Amino acid sequence: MVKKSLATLLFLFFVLPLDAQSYLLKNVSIWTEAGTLQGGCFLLVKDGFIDSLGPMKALPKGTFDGEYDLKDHFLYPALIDSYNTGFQPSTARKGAEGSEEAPGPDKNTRLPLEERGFTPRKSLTETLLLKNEDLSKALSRGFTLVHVVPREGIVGGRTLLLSPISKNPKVNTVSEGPFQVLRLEPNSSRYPTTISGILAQIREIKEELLYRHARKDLPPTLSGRRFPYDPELEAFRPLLFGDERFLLVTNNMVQQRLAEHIGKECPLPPVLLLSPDFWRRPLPASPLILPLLFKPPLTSRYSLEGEEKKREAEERLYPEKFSLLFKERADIILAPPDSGDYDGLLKNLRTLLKKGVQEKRLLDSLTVNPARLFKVQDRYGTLERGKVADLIVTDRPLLEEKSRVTITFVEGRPFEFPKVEKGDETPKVDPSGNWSVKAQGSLGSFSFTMVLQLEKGNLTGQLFYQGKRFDITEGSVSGDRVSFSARGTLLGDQIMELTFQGRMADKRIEGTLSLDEGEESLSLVANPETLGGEM
Amino acid sequence: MKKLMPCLWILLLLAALNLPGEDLLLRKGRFYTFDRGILEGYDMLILNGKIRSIAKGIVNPGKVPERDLKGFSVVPGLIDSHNHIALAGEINEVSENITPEIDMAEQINPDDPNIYYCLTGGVTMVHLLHGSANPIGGRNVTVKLKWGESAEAMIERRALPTLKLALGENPKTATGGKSFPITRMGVAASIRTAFSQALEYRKGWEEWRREAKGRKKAPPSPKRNLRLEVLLEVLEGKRVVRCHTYRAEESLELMRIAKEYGFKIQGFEHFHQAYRIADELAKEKIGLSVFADSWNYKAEASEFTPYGFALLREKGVEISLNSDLSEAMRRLNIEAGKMVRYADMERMEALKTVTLNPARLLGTDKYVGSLVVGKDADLAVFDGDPLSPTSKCCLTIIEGKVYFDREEDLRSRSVKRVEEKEATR
Amino acid sequence: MKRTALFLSLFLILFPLFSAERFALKAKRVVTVSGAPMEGGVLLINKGRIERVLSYQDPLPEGYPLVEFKEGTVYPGLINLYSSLGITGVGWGSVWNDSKEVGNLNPQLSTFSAFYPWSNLLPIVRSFGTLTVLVAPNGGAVSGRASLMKTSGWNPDEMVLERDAALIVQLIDKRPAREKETMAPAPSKRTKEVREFLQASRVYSLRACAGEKQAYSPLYEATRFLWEKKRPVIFAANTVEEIREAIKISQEFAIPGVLLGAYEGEKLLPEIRLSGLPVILSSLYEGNHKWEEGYDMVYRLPGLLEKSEIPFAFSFYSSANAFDFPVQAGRAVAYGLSREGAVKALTMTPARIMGLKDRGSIDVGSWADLIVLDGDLLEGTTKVLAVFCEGKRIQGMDYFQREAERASRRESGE
Repeated sequence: MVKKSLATLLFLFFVLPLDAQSYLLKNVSIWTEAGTLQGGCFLLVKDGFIDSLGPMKALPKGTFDGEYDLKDHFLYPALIDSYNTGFQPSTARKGAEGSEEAPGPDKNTRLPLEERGFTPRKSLTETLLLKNEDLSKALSRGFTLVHVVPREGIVGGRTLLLSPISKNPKVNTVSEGPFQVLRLEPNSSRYPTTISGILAQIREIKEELLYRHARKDLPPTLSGRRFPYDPELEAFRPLLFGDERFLLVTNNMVQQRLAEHIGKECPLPPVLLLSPDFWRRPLPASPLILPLLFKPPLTSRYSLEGEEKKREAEERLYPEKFSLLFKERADIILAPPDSGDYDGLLKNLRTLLKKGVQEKRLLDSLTVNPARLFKVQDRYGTLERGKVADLIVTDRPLLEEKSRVTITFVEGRPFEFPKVEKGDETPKVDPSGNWSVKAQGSLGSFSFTMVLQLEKGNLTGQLFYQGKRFDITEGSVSGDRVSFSARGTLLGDQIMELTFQGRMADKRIEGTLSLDEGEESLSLVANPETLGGEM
Repeated sequence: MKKLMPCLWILLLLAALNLPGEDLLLRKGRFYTFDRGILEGYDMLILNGKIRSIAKGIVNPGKVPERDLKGFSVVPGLIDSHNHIALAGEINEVSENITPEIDMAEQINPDDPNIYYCLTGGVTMVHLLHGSANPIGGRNVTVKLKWGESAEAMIERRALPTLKLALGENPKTATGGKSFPITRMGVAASIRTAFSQALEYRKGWEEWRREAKGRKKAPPSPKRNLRLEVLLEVLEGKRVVRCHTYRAEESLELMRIAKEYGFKIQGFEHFHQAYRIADELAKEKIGLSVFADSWNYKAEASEFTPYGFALLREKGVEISLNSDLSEAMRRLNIEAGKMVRYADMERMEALKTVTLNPARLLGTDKYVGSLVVGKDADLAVFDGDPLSPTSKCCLTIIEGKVYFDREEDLRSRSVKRVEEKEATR
Repeated sequence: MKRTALFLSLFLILFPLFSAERFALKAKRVVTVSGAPMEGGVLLINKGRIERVLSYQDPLPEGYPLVEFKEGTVYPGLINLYSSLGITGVGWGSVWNDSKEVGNLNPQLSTFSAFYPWSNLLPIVRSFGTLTVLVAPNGGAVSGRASLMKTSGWNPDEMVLERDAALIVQLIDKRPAREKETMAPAPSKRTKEVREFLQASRVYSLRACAGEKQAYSPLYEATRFLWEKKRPVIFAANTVEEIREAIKISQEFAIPGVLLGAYEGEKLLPEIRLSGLPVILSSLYEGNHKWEEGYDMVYRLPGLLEKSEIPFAFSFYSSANAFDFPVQAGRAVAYGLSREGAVKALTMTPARIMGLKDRGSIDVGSWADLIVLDGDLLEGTTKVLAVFCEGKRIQGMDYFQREAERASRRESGE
C-alpha cells in the first residue's frame, strides 16, 4: 500500500546541504548501553553529532534551533538494517548471466566471468533506485542505516551502506563496499549450474590468482604482457588472499554447508547470512546475520512433513532456537524477515522478548553489533557523546506492543512522523472502469487510457500508452485519494515505473503522475470513458 | 590439497565418524544369511552398531533393548547402487562437457523425504550419482539413509570413490544438442581427449619437479587444474568409473579407452544391451547396475530382453539392481525376485542382486551387504518372504538404530487422524 | 541355450495339439476366481470355450488329447482396463505415441482406429498373461473412446471385442502439488465442461432416436453409443472433490460411471459404495503425494475398497512394462488386500465392469482365455508356462525370448 506520510513531503521540500542545526531533547527516557531505560534525561544534538546527554538537572543553558519536550517518550539509537535487497532495479528473472534470448550455451567455450554471474566489481551506486516510499519507510520505522546488498548474480558486487536521507546516492553513501556478496544460487545454463560448481569455480579462481601471482616478477613476453589483465579476476584477489570479506547468503541447510566449505577458501571468515534452519548445523565463530524469520525454508523437513509440523515449527521450535542462540552469543546481527519488512521484524522481536531473551541483546543486534560489523562503531550504534546523531524517539518502549517511531534523527536532522488518521483509510470512491487521461508536463502533454478495478480493497488494472501496457502493481484507495504504481516496458526492454496519485471527485480524477527516472511530476485529468461500479 | 581445517571441523568430522552405533537384540527371527542359509528362530545381537553374533537363545549381556521378530524375515539392508535422491538443486553440470570437479557429496540434502520413503522399502544404503548430461560428469557419493542426521553423518566414507561417465543419447542431446558432441563418436572422442589432457597435465608437473629439484630458486609451479586432477585420480586407480550406457557398441569403446589409459570401469549403469557382450564384461570384471525389466522409455532402451540376465549370469557377470527413481526404490526386493524368473537364479542368489552385489560394486562389501558377524548391523525386516510383493518391510535398521518402524509410522498417523476427526466434528 | 532347447522340445511334443479344436487341459491347480480354487483340475476345451470342468478323479472322455502341466496353476487370462497398448511405442513424447491428442473435447477419437498390434510390445504383454485390454486415450477433458481388444489375432478387426467400449473423461484438473492442502470448494472448470458436454450429447441422442432433424455434430454423434448402448463412462478423478463430481454426474445423467484412479478414495468409501460405481485403480507404482498421507497411501487403497465391498480392478497404463500388472497387485496384498481379492481384481471384476460375462473366470461356457503359471500369479518369481487365447495356444517366441536366443548364439539375424 502506498502510504502517505509527512516525511514524504519533507523529502521533496527538504534542503539538502548540511546546515549547522542544534536540537535539544528534554525529559526523555534514554536507552543506555547497559540495556536500561533511564528516565528524565536530555540529549543535545549539535552540528549533526551528539554534543551532550545526561540527567535533566545537568541541562545545558543556551538557545537552540529546536527544542523537543519528550515527556513520556523514549529515545534509542537509530536502528541499522543489515540486509536489504531493495533499492535496485529488478530484472525479469534472477541470475544475471545475460539476456533471456541467449541461445543454449556452447559446451566447449566458457564465457568470461562477468557473463556468468561473477561481477565483483559491480557497484550499486550506479544502479541505485531511490524511491520516496522506500526511503520514508525505512526512516519511519527508525532505520537510519541500510545495508543494500545486490540482488542478482552469484558474486553480485559490492554491498553498500547508505543513509536513506536523499535521492542522491553520493549524499547517501556512508560506506562503499563493506562486503562482496556471494549467493549460492547457481545459473540455469552457464557454468556453474550446480551448487557444487560454485565452490569449484571459486577454487579455480584461486588457483588462477596463485598462478599469476607466482609469475608477477617474471619479465613480460616478447609480445607484451604475460597475462591479459582481467579486472574481474583481480577483484577476487583481496577476497581470497587479502582482507576483504564475502557476505555469503544462504537460504537453507544445504547452502549453509556449502558456505562453510567456501569459507575455508578465504583467509578471513566470511560474514554468513543464515536461514531459520541455522541451528541444525554447528555455527562458526564468524559474524552472523540472521533474518528474524520463523518460517522453515521450503526444502526443510519442517516444511515438507505436513502442515501441522510446519505450524508447530513456526510457533514453537524456531522461536526457541533463536532465543537459545541469543542466550549463547552476544554478537548476533538481526535483519528483517523479508527485505524491508520492518513491521515483521518488530513483531518477531516481541515474540523473542516473550521467550525470555534479554532486551539488550535484541537491541544490540540492531545497533551495536551491525555497527561493529560495518566498522562504523566509532560513529554509530550507541547514544554517546561524539557519535553521529542518529536517534529515534518512540511513544512507548520500542519492543512494547503498538510502539511507534514519532521522530527519527538522521545526522542531527529530525524527520517527524505524526500519527496517520485511521478514518482516511476506508475507500469512499470507486474508480473502477475505463478512463482516458490527459497528462501535462514540461515535455508537453500526452494522453493515455487506463482500466481500473477496485475489488475488496485492492486496486488493480492496466495503463495503455501507444500500444504498450503497464500493469498496476500497488494500488490503493483511501478516502477520496487514489494512488498506484504501475510498471511496464517502454522502448524495447527498458522497464519503467510510474507513480500515480490523485483525488477523485464527481467522476473525475485529478492528480499527478511521476516517472521513476526523474523528479518531474505531470499533472493529469482523467475522464471516464465508461464508469463502472458505484459507491 | 585441502587446507588445514579449523578445530570445529575436525571435531565435527570425528563426531560423524565415531557416531556411536546402538545396541539391539533381535529375537526369534528368520535370518537370510548367504553362508549359513536361512536360519529359522535365531537371535541376533548387535553391539555398538555391529553384528556380534547370530545364534539361538542369545543371553542379553545387560540392558540391551530387545525386539521380538517371531514370524519376520531379516535380510541385509538393501543397497540401491544408482539413485539421485537427497541431492539439492541441479544434479547435472549442463554447461560444459567434462566436469569432474563437481562433487555430489557437497549437494547432499538430508531433508529429502525420499530418504524416508527409501527406508520404507528396506533400503539402507544408496549411491547418489551426478546426472547423465555430460560425457564426464561429476564425483558421486555413497550414503547411508540415516534419516534425521546431518549430511556428514550420512556419508559412507569407506566406499570406493567414483566418477560418473555417460554415453549415448543423454550427453548427445543435453542442452538442445547444438554443441559438440552430438554423436556417439563425439562423446567417445571427448572422453579420450579429457584423459589425454590429464596425462599431459601430469607430465607438466613431473617436468617441473625435475627442474625444481636441487635448484635454490625453483621456477614457479604450473597452474593447478582441479578438474584434471580428478581425472588423474581415475588414471592412478584411486577412483573408479561408473558409466551410464545403453548400447553395447559405445560401452565396448569405453572399455577400449579404459584399457588404453589404464583405468577401472567399476560398473555400467542401466545397460539394457549388456547381454550382447556378456563375455567381454565378464572378462573385464565389470559389474552391472541395472533395472530388472523396465525398458522402452527411449529409443536406446528399446532393444532389451530380461532373459539376457540368464546369459549374463552364466558368464559370471555380477548383476546389481537399482531403481534410479524415487518410487522404484521402495520395491527393490520385488525387482530382485524377478531375477528368479528371468535368470533362473536361486532365491538367495536373487537376494544378492540387491544386497551383496551392490555392496561389492560400491566397495563396501567388507562392512555391509550380508548378515555376517563383524559387519555393520544394517538390516531390513519383512513380514514374509522378502522377495515377494505380498510381504512388506516393517523395520529398517542402520548400525543398530531403528530408522523406520511401520508400527511407529502408523501410530503417528492415527494420532493425527483422530485429531483431524475431532477438528471436523 | 537351455531356453532354446526347452522351447524346441515343447514345440515338437505339442505340435499336433496346436491345430486341435478340442483338448483337455490338466493342471496341478485351477483358480476359477468365480469359485474356490481346485486342487487338481481338468478343463475340457472345445471350439474355444470351456466345455466342462473336471477334477482329477473324473474319467477323461474320448477325443480330448491331454495337455498336462504337472506343476502348473491355471488362471483366467488377465484383463487390463486402462492400457496404452497399441497406441504407444518407444519413448514418451515421440512419434510412437498416439495416446494424447490436442484439444479438450475429443469423443470422436477412437483408439481402435489407431491400434497397432504388430509391435514387439503386444506379444510380450500377452506372454506375461494379459489377454484383454481396454485401450484408452488420455488428454483433455473428454479424451475419446476406449476400445476393448484381445491381445491375440493378426489385425485389429480380428482382435476387437467392443469398438466403443467406454468414454474416457478426465476430471483431474492438474497434477497434485506438494504444498497444497485445501481443495477448491467450487466445482472445477473441467467438471462444468464435462457436464455441459454430456447434457448436449444426451439431447442430441434423444433427438436422433426420435427422428428429429438437427444439425450434424461429429462430437455428439460419436457419443451416441453412451446413451443408446448404455456403455460406461470412465471418470479419471483423484481428489475428494473430483470423485464426488464423478458420482454426481453419473447419477444425474443415469449413466454407468466408473472411477479411474480415486487416489483419495479412502476418504469417501461409504459414498462410493452407495453410488455403486466401481473403481479402476491406476498403477500402484506411484508414491504418495503428501507426507501426511503416509507412505503407503496408494498401496492400502485396494484393501480398503475390498473391505467396503466396492468392486475394483487394477490397471497398468504403460504398454512396455505391462508385465508388472499382476506384481503390483501382489503389492496391495502386503498392505491389506486378500490374495483372492487381488486375483479377482485382475480377472473377473474388470470383465464384469466391461460387461463381459464370458471372460475373466473359469466357468462352463466361458471363453478359454487361460494362462498357466509355475507358481502364484501375484509373485514376481513366477514364470508363465503357457497362454491360451480362446482355446488356441500361443506358440512362438516373443521379442524378449528371441533376443535372448540370438544373443546366446552370438549371431545377428534370425
